[in-house]
Amino acid sequence: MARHLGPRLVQCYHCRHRFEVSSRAQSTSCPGCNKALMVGDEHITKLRGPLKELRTCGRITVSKRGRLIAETIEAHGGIDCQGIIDAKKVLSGTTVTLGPKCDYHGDLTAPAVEMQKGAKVKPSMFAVPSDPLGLTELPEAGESG
Amino acid sequence: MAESGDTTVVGADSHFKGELSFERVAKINGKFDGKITGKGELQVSQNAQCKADVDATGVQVDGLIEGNLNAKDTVKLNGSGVVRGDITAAKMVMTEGASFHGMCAVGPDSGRASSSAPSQPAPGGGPTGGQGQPPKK
Repeated sequence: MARHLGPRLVQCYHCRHRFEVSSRAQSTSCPGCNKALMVGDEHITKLRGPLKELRTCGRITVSKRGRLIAETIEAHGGIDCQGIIDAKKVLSGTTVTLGPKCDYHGDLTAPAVEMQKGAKVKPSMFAVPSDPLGLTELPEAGESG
Repeated sequence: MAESGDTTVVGADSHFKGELSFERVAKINGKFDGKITGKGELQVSQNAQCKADVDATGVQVDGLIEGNLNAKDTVKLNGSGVVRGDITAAKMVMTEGASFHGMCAVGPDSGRASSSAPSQPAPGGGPTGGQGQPPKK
């Protein structure tokens, strides 16, 4: 399968500076604030945590047997949860998918949520749609010129 | 308020204020202010505006609901649906594009609960910090 290897636009989760990275990059440092930055996708297939925070400019995928426990979760590329997410605060730049076997807990801020029948949600505050990161203004990779 | 077959309908040009209770299916096409209680399914149509606390077995939302929603079975929040209030349900389906601002509790136990519980801290002894992030340079 052909892979898109062009640069993609990311936004620093520390200073909100926008810049381009290679699509293969997993981590980098922000040219705006020089802080370390995760830009790759995170695949959670088993227990991960408890963490203070898990932040990435990419996507977080929690598989059926995966369990993510963190105080703050931030994924600019969206979240796909088929397993367990237990957090205090969850921020997503694009759609959050809660699968039919998902068990979710955490105050969620996202532009869109797709919740499938069977998903369990422990009492959590939902703010949908909302775009606190201003990520909806980000053009798709390759469109940035 | 009209009744077509087993469905109770609040028409698109109607503005209903008060308390509505129904047995099977109720459909809101217009404006509703008050309280809705039912044993069946409530359908809120796309252009409907419903300022009400809802207690029903099933709720299907295509329009606007301002108020708390309590369903014993399923809440379907479709793409054009907007809910400003808390949702407590046994099952919930939310389509991309739907808008929801409020507390959410979904699960077999939540459908029976009358009110939402406060948020609990993450289990496992709390955060330890630092993991999952690249090392500082």
